[in-house]
Parts: sequence; structure tokens; C-alpha cells
Amino acid sequence: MKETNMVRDHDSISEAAQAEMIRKERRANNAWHKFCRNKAAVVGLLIILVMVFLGLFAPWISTHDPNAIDVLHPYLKPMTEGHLFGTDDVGRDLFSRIVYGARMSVLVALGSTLLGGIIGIVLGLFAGYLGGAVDSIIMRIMDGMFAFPFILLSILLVTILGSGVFNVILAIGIGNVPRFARVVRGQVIIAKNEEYCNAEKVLGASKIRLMFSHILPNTLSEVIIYATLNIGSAIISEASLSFLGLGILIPTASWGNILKAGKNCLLKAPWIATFSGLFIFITVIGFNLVGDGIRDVMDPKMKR
Amino acid sequence: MKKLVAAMLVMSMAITSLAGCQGGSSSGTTQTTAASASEGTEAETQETTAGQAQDVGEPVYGGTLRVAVNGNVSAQSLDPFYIDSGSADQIVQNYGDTLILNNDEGDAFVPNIATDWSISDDGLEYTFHIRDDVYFQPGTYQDGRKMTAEDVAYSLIRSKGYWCNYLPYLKDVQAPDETTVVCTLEYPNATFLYQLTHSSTIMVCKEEVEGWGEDYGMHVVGTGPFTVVEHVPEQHTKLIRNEKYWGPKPYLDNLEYINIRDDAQAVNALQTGEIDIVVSLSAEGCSQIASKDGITLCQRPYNRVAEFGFNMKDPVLSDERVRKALIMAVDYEQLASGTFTEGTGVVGRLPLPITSWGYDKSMEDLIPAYDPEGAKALLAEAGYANGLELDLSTGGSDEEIRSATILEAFFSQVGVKLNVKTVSTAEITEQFQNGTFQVFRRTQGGSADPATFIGYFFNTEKMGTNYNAWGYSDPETDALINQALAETDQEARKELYAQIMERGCEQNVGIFFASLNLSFGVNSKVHGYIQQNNAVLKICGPEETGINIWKEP
Repeated sequence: MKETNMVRDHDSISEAAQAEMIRKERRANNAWHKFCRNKAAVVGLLIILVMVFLGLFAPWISTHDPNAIDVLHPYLKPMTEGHLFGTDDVGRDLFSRIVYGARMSVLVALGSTLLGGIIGIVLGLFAGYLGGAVDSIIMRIMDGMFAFPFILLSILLVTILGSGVFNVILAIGIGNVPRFARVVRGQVIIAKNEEYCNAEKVLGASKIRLMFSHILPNTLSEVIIYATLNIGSAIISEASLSFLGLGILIPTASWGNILKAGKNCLLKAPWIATFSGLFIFITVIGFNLVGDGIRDVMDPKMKR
Repeated sequence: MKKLVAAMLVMSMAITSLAGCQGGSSSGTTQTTAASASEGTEAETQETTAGQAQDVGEPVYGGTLRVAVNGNVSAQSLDPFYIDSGSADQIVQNYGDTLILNNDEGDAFVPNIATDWSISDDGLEYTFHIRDDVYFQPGTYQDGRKMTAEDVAYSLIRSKGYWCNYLPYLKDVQAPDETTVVCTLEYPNATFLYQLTHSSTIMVCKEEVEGWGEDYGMHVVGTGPFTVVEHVPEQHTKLIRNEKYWGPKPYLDNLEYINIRDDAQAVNALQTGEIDIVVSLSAEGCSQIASKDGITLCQRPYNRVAEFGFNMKDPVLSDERVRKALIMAVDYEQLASGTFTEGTGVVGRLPLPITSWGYDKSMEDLIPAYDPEGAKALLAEAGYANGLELDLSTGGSDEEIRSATILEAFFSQVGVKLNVKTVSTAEITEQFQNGTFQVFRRTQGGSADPATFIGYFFNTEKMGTNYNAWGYSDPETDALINQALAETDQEARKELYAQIMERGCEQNVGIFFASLNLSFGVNSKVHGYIQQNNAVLKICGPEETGINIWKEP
């Protein structure tokens, strides 16, 4: 009796423990928890959330109208006369401009990555799945675009299209296409010879169905990692274009525009270039950390 | 090892940036220095004129003067036929000679190649007597031969082909003897003498021009104090003293023009002593050097206005009420002081620089006063009660962007949305020719003679060029302009230009908001220079000008 009881106890304990272990295992394998274990990635995510928050609620967070000039009070130092970050060369409140700049930078970065991603994914899918002539044509065009340094390609496109928010998104987005296409194509070529694809083919699925319902989801993890990392570089691209005077039209606040205005008064008003540069730097770091975090979560080989 | 080098680099960068911050924090006092400099420009000029006599010691021979220029100096730019930038002007005026020169103030003429001149009563015939001791610099096709009246005639007639064609009225140039030149005009033109000071009219040698053909720009030969020995397009030009120069012997052995596009880089080079003079400083550059030891910031007003022009042929802007409303929307004081900081410009309201003898303060009333409410009402009357959108074509310099930003802010207060578009010089020239712009921003230079400003601004002949880009055309104004050109009495001309001003300003063609100051940054070891009204830094000139720059060893 005692013995059986003990056995039962043992059984029940081990069942509970097993359930607990399974739960633990599940939680450990849960992408979100995996991500949360990566401290750097969490910091990155927080940075992104702050920037998105700044951008979304810019009208409420900013202390002044970002475009209101006050030529009598240019180059005010930070923390003077109610200007948190000081003022720029025509007396505009720098803090408000940076807050509105966050909106512009995040918008352009997300927009261009989304645009480049969608076009790149579709091209990569067709090139990888259909192969042959289609593959050659698409990928040679992509190689051609790769031949231009990214920023040069963007400058070229902006010069043709003209400046402005939409055109900058378009230019950076198009510049992103070949990278996405290449990433997706590689994944598709691996996936299309997998068992499940053959099975689906045998069952009579159409090519389009096969591509979009079965192969595409299996390439997405790579694409998401790539896209997150890409947002960071898109922010830099926007800042570079604006810095060259080709990006967001003045007087719209964008970090690149502010940086450009701060360039020539580095000695006189170092805070203008410092604050805008710092925000670009921090945001790009944020996206890169999150990108790394997602890669750790998605990549089975990285299991700890 | 690499890490060590990198660490040292980082440290030195940190130290330099710290030093930079120090300069920045002391910039509070810069403003006053710059302001006092611009107020006391006359005193400054006098000081530099008399510089030689003061305690700087006796001039010494020798040394190399390095001048930073920031514009295009292409393979052809040094050929007076193709000269296309202020930077090329700087070089051309020092290897070549014009018939006559402007005085410092730009309102009278001094002899150069021509010793004296007379004008016939009908204003159609100009007779010049020229020096007989002028020799060309030796070149490939001649060995430093004497320059004669024939060469003057050849040079002036050649300059008629200059792309801007400043001398459309020059009918003929004759050389009756070795030292006499007679110019005949199609119709009287009071600006003829002024045009003869332009770099496009320097004396050239026929053999060299024809011998080199299209390549002449790389092998220019003149009669000036310095000889071009090396010209690398867009990079630098090296000159040496011309031992056979007819004027005083230049103190300097060598002269170098270095093309530095970036203002900050030029200022840095000035501070390290790599260059001795920067001839065009922006406000940022001025603030950077204003408080530096060993560098002198020289500022003086010169004949250049900053303007926003409207396209009178544009469907929206053709409505006179809209143009007037746009002018009423702008506070000129704020626009000028916000744009031209550090004493680089002052407010003006008329389409003339305040240095011009035609500028009359009492005429400023012709320009609609700042009145945003009135502007709104006027726009509503014109049918734009719900706002209006306009495109601005501007260059991309800091100063241009700053003025565009301020203008945009003023316009937005009256419900006008201004899209600022940065365009290249070539693009804007094309827009002028085709009239495909709405509003543009540029600065316009000329002489103290109003003929070179309002005489062009409201002249039908200049339509489609940068002068009359707005497309003003009125036969009566044209008649007045021609009358003013034919008149030789200055008081009578002033009266005529006042009438032209009245007629022109009535149309509200643009916002002429500032008169610019010229800013030079000069190493304190350099003496004997004069900041002339035409912005060209003469290195050495005839005795009458008293210019002969020298440098402490």
C-alpha cells in the first residue's frame, strides 16, 4: 500500500514536473520570450518604440511650431528661453524640429523598406521559382542595379523624380529592391525542392498558389530579419539625401535637413548637428539591435 | 600598431574638437566685432589703403600669395571670351589689363592701359590714348612683342562675341595711329566705360589667340603684372611675376589661386596658413574668423542685391494683386537680417544696391509696406482666399536656403504655401530662358551706375536673361532707359532713373530685400591690398591705384 502510494506519488510528481517542463520548454521556445532574453534587442525595441511614439505624437510632444522662425533669436543654446535643445540658424526650436524629424525619418524608412520589400519579394519569388530565362533576366537587372553604389542610385533617382517625401521613399525603396530580390531568390531555390513542395505539386496546386501560399511563408523569416536591419540603413539614406539637399524639401523637418543646417555652424552652434546626428545614430542602432535579436530568434542554429 | 594609430587619431580628433568648442563658446562676442566691422567699413578701407605707411614696416619683395576662390575655373574660363565666374575674374584681372579701371568705390574711372580719353558731344565716339610701353608676356606664338592700338582694337572687337555680349552697341574700333584708339557706338550708352573695366575686355594677343584656337584658355597671355604658368582646371592656377610689366614692379614673386569649394575648408586653410586670402566668405566663415588672431576680416558694401523675383507670365503671378500681396507679406528687415548675419549684408528695399548713386531712401515708399492682414485681404480679392501654392527655384547654399526658409515662413502666414526647390545654376538659367519658374532667388551684381541694375531689370531687351527674368516689358520704360543711357549729365540721369524706378516698382516684380557686403578673410601678414567695390582683388595695379600687395616673410 505504502509502496503503491509512493509509486503513485512519484508518478504524479513526474507528471506535474513534466507538464511544468513542457510549459517551460514552450515558453523558452516562444519567440517573444526568446527575444526578451536578448537584453540588447529589448533596448533596441524600446528605442524604436520611443521614436515611433515621438513621431506619432509629434504635435503634442513638440513645444513649438517646428517651422516658426524667429530671426531675432538664432543659435540659442540648449535650455535657454524655453528651448530644450536651443534654436537653429533662423531661430526655429530644435527640439520640436527633431520630434517632427522623427516622424519623417520613421515614415520614410518604413515606407521605403515596405516598397522595396514588396517589389523585391515578388521579383525574387518569380526569379527563384521559375528559373531559366525569367531568372536570368530579373537577376541580371538586379545585378545591374547592384553595380551602382546604393547612395548613388538613390541620388540618381531623386534627381530624375525630384525631391519630396514620396519621391524619396520611392528612390530609397527602388534602391532596396535588388537586395530583397536576392535574399528571397536564394530562399526560394532551397524551398522549391523540399518534399512539401513536391507533394503540393503532385496534388495539382497551381504555380501561383505554390509560390505565394507555400514557399513565400517559408522565406519570410529571412526577409523579416533583412527588412529590420534595412530600416536602419534607410534612415541613413534619407538623412544622406536630405544632407545633400536632395531629400525632404525644406522647411519640413527631417534629421538630415537639420544636420545639413548644423554642418556649417559646427563651431558656432555645435548642438544643432550634435542632436540631429545623435538621434540618427540612436535610432539606427535601435533597428540594428532589434534586427539582430530577431535573427537570433528565427535562426534554429542559434539555439542556446 | 594599427590600433595605436587609430587611438592616437581619435585622441587628436577629440582634442581638435574640444579646441573647436572653445572657439564656438566665445562666438558670443563675434557678433559685435562683425557689426562694428561693417559699420566702420570706410575706416577699414582707409586703414588698408594707408596700411603701407603704418607700423607694418617697409614692403619687401618676394614670397607667394595664395588666394582661395570658390567658383568654376574651367579649362576655358581664363580666356576672356569665355570667362564665366567671379573666380575667373580674380585671375583674369591679374594676368591681363583692361583699358581703364574702376576706382575703389566703383563710381569713377582711373587710367590703366589708356592714359586718358575723351567722349564726343553726341556720345557716340570715344577716343583713348594708350601707353606705348606695354608688352605682351612671351608665349608660343610671339616673343613678348609690344602691344599697339591695333591689339586694343582686336581685343575689343573680339570681346563683342562674349556670351553675355555687354557691348551690343559697339559698332567699330579703329586704330588711327600706334597709340590712339577710337571706338564708335551705334547709339549712345553711358555704361560703355564701365563695360571696358569688365574682364571680358582685357587685351589679348592676336597671334596667341589664333595660334592656340580652342585651347587658348589653357595658354593665356596678357599684359598684366603676373604671367600664368600653370592652369589646372577647377583646381589651381599658378602665376609668376611679369618682369616686363609696365606698372610698378610687383612685390610678390608668385601668385596662386586655389579652388576650394567648401567654405569651412577655406576658412580652415586660412587658419593654418595654407592660404593667405579668402575672397568670398559666407556668414558662417565670417563668424569663424572674426575673433581669430592673425586673420583680418574685411567687410565693405558692394554693388550686389539679393532678390526674390516673380514670373509675371505665370498664370497665378500674372495677377498684379498677387505679386503685391506677396511683397506685403514679407518683413524686409527680418528677411535681410536673418539671411545676412555677421555683417554680410544689410536691408535695402529698392532694386538697387544701397551703394549706388541712384539709391534714394525716399523712394522706398514705392515698395508696399509689411502688412500681412492687407496681404491676406488682397489675396482673397484676387480669388485666393483659401490659399495658394507656389514653387521657388533657388540655389543650395546656406545663405540661399536660409532666406528661402524665412520667406516660406512669411508666406505661410498669409496662406501661401511655398515649395522650395533647389536647382543648379544651369537649370535656373534654362528656367529663365523658357520662363518655366514661378519664384526665384538670386543675387545680382553690377556697378554704382543704376543702368546696370534697373536699366537692365526693366529692359525689354534683357527679357529671358537673369536681369529681366520676370518678363517686364513696357515701351515707355524702354524709351526712358535709352534716354538715360544717352544722357551724360549725372544729375539728369539720376532724375531719369528715378522715373524708371517709379514705373518699374509699380509692377512689383520681386522682393529686393538686401544689399550685400563683401567679406574677405586675410592673413595679417599680407599688406597693401584694397577691397574694391567690384569684388576683384587686384594684386598689383598702376601707380594711380596704389595697389601692390606684399607679404611679411
